[in-house]
Amino acid sequence: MTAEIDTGETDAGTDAQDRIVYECELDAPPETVWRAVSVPEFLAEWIGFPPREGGDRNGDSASYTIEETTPPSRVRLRWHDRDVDQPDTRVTIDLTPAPEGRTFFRLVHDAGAMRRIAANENGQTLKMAA
Amino acid sequence: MTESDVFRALADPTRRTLLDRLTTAELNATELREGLGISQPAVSQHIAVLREAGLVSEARQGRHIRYRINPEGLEPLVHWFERYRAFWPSRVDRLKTLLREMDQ
Repeated sequence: MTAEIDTGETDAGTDAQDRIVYECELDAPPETVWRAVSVPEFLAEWIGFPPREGGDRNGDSASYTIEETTPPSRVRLRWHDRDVDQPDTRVTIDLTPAPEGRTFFRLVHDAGAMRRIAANENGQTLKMAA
Repeated sequence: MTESDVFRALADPTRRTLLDRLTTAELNATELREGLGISQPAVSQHIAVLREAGLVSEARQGRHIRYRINPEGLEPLVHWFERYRAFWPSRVDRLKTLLREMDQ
């Protein structure tokens, strides 16, 4: 059993409506996590489908490409929802060394073009709609 | 109204601006296009797209039509957020499993 510390599932703060943030500490050194988030074969393993090819087989409705890698700490994915006719969104993964050979993992899925309108709603209208 | 209608409607910066303006007040077409440098026909066209997507509804007041946000129209947006709020935690669980395998 590994000693994982989830520092919070998603931000419940004020910016929760324009992007999704997921943070946690991983029980693996940054070099290992870096390989897991930047090598296509490993990405396919945990995201469920490889970059570019999409994942229709598994009932997944999205596809993505690796847009940018900044070793050893940042990967950017351009994310495309096949079933939603909207501009692509962006997923940014940042890695930071944590004490005792662990890694702090932060993933931000930015809603992109949807962002401003959702942010301006300030939760009010979205709550009414939910 | 389908999900893709909503995202198509939101993909245009002018329409997002129009929608922004409607989040604070009900406005007529003239008030909506104030300072935007777009023609009346253009603003009408954008409003038509927003209405078709179910994002905006209209209310007649005498000779004027006032536009307002239709909260239900934003549901696809809410669904998108719900989808990925559930998606990423489950994927990070798989990442944790993968990391344990890579460690061996």
